[in-house]
Amino acid sequence: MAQIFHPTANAVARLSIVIVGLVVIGGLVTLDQLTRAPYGTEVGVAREQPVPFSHKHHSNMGIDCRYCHTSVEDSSFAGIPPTKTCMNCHSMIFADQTILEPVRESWKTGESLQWNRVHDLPQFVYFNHSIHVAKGIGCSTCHGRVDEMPLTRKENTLYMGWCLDCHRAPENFVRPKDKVFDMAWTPPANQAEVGKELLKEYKVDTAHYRMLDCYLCHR
Amino acid sequence: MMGICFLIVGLLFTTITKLVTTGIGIWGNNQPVAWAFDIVNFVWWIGIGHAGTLISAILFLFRQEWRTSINRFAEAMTIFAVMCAGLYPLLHLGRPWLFYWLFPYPNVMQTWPQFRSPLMWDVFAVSTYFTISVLFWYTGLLPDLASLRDRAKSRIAQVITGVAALGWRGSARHWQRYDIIYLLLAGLSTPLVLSVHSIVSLDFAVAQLPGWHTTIFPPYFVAGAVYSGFAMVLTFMIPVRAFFGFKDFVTQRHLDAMSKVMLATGLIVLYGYAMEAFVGLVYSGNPNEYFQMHNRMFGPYGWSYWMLITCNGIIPQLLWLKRVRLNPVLLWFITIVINIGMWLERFVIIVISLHRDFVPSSWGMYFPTKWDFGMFIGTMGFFGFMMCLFIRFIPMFAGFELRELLHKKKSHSH
Amino acid sequence: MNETSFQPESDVGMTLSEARAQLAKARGRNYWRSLEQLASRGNFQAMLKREMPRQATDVEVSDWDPIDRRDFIRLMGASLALAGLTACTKQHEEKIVPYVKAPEELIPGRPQFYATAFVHDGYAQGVLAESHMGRPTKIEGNPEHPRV
Repeated sequence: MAQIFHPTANAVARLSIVIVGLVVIGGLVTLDQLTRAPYGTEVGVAREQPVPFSHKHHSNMGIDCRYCHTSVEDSSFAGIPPTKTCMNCHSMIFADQTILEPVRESWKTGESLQWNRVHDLPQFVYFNHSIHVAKGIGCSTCHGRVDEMPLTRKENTLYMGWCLDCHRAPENFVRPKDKVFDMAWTPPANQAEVGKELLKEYKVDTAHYRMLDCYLCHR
Repeated sequence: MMGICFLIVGLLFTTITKLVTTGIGIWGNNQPVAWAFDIVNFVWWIGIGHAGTLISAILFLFRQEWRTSINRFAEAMTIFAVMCAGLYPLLHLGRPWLFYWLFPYPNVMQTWPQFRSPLMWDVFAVSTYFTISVLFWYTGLLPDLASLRDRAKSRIAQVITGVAALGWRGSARHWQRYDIIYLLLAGLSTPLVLSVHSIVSLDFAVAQLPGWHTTIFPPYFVAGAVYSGFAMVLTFMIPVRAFFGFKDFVTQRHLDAMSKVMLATGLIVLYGYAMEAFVGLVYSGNPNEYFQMHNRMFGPYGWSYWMLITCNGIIPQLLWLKRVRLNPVLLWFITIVINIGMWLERFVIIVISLHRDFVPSSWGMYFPTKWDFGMFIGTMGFFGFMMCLFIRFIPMFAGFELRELLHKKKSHSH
Repeated sequence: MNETSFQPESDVGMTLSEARAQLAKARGRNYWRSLEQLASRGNFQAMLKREMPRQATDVEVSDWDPIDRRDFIRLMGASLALAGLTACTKQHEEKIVPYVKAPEELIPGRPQFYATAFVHDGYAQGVLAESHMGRPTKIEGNPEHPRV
């Protein structure tokens, strides 16, 4: 009877053990890396917008964040300005720029501008801007140097692990309340001590059953 | 037979599709009975799987030679039963495609599974059990696959069985390694027989619910598992034996020995019931425990408790009689009764304990929906289908082991 | 070929723009109060079904019917496989649609409360209404209303 397999089949069989192992491990590592790469996180990816709005340009003129994001201190939602806010200035300034046509169009017709959301938390997450601002977490801690972004992009992943980085050790991120809207603020060398002091001052209960309670965000 | 089973597999797939697209709300379980058919069936199937491991591992280590003609069959049953069992908790997750959250792996949520939960231990226990069972079964199959390869007529059959046989040539070195590996795997599986169902029982025993929170659960569950496992082996074995005329392989002696195992484990289980009743009604002095036990016997689901006692405790006592043990038809009937009884046992433990909580305002009833039944019948069909495939394509008996046994027997008799 | 055959949409249901147009035409007492009421008009229901098909009904109404065994198994297999894939999808893009002119005293993300009234049996009933950006989410009795 003829041989069914060539002798090299032995080598193939042995090799296949290694290859299958490598493929499985490689596949898992690839998936994990894709999740953490901009492909999954969309960090640093600027979304297309109806108007190529530049935070850099506007904040360099000294406009405060809260001029447009009015509800950041009062509400869960920081607020996206109504067309009216744009037109406060742009009815006079650059009033004939074609780039601003959608804004004028919106003003004329009463149809809202439709912005593409850059920071999009899943629906099952409860997040509140006002409490973070009130307890000394600055804009730039999460959003990065928005004042240096010509087009808005995400600075952080907004993954749960990223949230927990701070909720596990808020003393590394908390800052004096008057610096909350200071985009250029960087933690001082003794942040560890200052942070603890600030947490005490703001009456932040850092107990795990509070800061890390599932129900805090998944209500 | 296979056609019928395949139809039922279709039912299973329909149910799963409906379940995945709609959600587990199509099942009847809801607060307070959050665990119902899904976990009842899970425990039932896992229990059925136990016979295979027990036969192949423990009886092998004890050198019980009569196991030889039934071990392959029982091992296959183990694997298919664990497959059926695994399906239930997986689908009960609600989002089964996220099952990998159960495993500890570095993830972007920076969370770990709750290692203090017995449900977590269950994941590891059942997956280890499945892996070892498959390895054990496959290792045992190797020499037979090789002889299939040698006898294969067509080229395709040669290649398929050849690859499956992993280059087995039957040399002395192969046999020596085979014996070592088989012994090692038997050693590995032995603790698994005890651990898997112990951990399944801890799913309940760790919870502080009257009817669940008891230390008797692990041994009582393991005995029950072996009980139902042997019953299921016989339920399948007796018709197959009659149909294919395997009376020379599966002899009266096998039926007799397996009946005795069932009788022994059945008595352990009966002792468990007695203890539960004693502790609940008399010994604990705890009003919650008392109420639970009383409700189990005389509450709205009382019928299931008395059916359970009849099926698992009373009818199997017939096995004391040798005439019954040697009568395949009667034996077959008893095994069916035991299977029903063991299913009822899980129903009694899970549903009855849950439906009367500490707070009367949160009492409720559980009614299975058609999808619950669809799923249950579906897994039975799947099990039957896999068994049919197994009988059709894979040597049902360990051919070489039987030959070895015959050889030994002959040389002894000289 | 006559004129009527040039209405491919009519037997499948109205389009969204037709529905809008119909709404724009509505005047006076012709307003609808709920989606159910709107849905009972014309073949809006058919449009909805087409816009948001459920797999099950889609299978029933489409050309798949009658399903033979192979198609059935293919569908089952595909849906199971695709169920696995849903874990790999990204969040879909979301729009933010701000006001053109924001109403006064409205803070987006926080509810507003109004003391208002509705007519019941010819009398005004005082109620407190919770409103989220114009959508009432809760109405309860107003204990300080003079009629109470």
